[in-house]
Amino acid sequence: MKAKIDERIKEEYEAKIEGKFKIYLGNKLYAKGKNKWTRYFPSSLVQQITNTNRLVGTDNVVCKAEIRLPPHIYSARAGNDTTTPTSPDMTDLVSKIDIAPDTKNIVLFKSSGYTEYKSRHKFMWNAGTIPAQTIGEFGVYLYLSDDGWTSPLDNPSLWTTSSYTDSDGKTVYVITPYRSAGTRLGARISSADGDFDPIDYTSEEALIFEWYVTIKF
Amino acid sequence: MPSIKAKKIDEKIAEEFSKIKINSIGEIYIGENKIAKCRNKWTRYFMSVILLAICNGTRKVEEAFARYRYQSIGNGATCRIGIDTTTSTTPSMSDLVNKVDVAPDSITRRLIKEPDYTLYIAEFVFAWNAGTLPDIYEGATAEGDIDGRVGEFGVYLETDNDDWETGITNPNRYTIIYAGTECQVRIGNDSAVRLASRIASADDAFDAFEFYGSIDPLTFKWRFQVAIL
Repeated sequence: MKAKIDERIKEEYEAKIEGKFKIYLGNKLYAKGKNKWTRYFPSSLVQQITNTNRLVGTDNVVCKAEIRLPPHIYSARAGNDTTTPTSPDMTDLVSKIDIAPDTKNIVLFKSSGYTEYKSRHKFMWNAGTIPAQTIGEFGVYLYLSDDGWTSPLDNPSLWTTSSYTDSDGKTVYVITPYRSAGTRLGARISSADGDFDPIDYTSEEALIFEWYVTIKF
Repeated sequence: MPSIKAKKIDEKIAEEFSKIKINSIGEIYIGENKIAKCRNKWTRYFMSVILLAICNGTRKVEEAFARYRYQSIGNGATCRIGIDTTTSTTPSMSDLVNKVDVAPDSITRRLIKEPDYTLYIAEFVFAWNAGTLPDIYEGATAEGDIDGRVGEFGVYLETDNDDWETGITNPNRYTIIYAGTECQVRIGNDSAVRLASRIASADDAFDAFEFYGSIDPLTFKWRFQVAIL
């Protein structure tokens, strides 16, 4: 056995997650590139990996359960800011145009060799939904942790639980496998970071924002 | 004609904060001595469940139970060693090639992050006490001993079975299991504790080694590191 530590850190083994985006004006691709991440996104991911299980309910009282993960109330917004760079603890767009997309969906893809897994979150604002103005930032909002745990934390049990009464009178217990879950900025695409040139948007064509998360090794 | 500017496609790849790099690392200790530090390889089941941890939709479960238990990815987390030294890891590998099926005596889960929010770590420490594992060495013939060398480590987590077709829309993959008086809900379809990561001497991750479990403790640390670059 070798006496000294055998340290083999090979690049070929390195997995990565990339966030990329595409912006379309109508059918025309306007820009594409990579997003910036906030700290709420990786925090929520590592909490899901280390958490074990959570039991809810009351003996002999029939109830329901609801599991909420990051796509719960997922959405996107455009914004006007063109000067503020992104930082990991940014909680919201700098100058948000608080108009929800008219349509949204999530699609999953994977490569035939099982070495690349990808999601696409697609958000579309129809022509006329967002009034004419300058657009300098986009944000992807997910149901994420507040990242309020203290490091290091052994044997974590970080959950968000709540309950509500359903239309049939039964209690619905809500479980999310990370602490203090709420709708938070997960990724930002910003002209101030040089991600794209500000858009002189006229509102005459649909605005389409596609966000891709790729996991590969 | 619409007055939207007809700019050419603007393709800017700014690097700062644009990548999350996952350095999944294994460390092997015999007693207090760290003998190897190496990267691992993932299975498709782990990659699939990570994608679901980001993209799985909300699920309301109405199964006439009084108790519901949600099981996250770390539920049932465990580790095994194996004596294979020749088989390279593939993404579809569902178990170690030649597993020594002895569970660790203790498992510690740990969350770590850097103060500047650029590094997040999910760490698992699997420890076998002296006397738990058999002696493993070349030419072993004694009862209970194993002829060979330690050549592989496997980390097992609650994962999806990865049976979805590419192009599925609005995924909502959960497993519902009736377990006595409670209803268990797991992330992923046909979710179970599966091989998530393999560290193999056959991949040149470390040199296979003889190990005397009757007298030495063995510790394996597995770190899932998410770095915002």
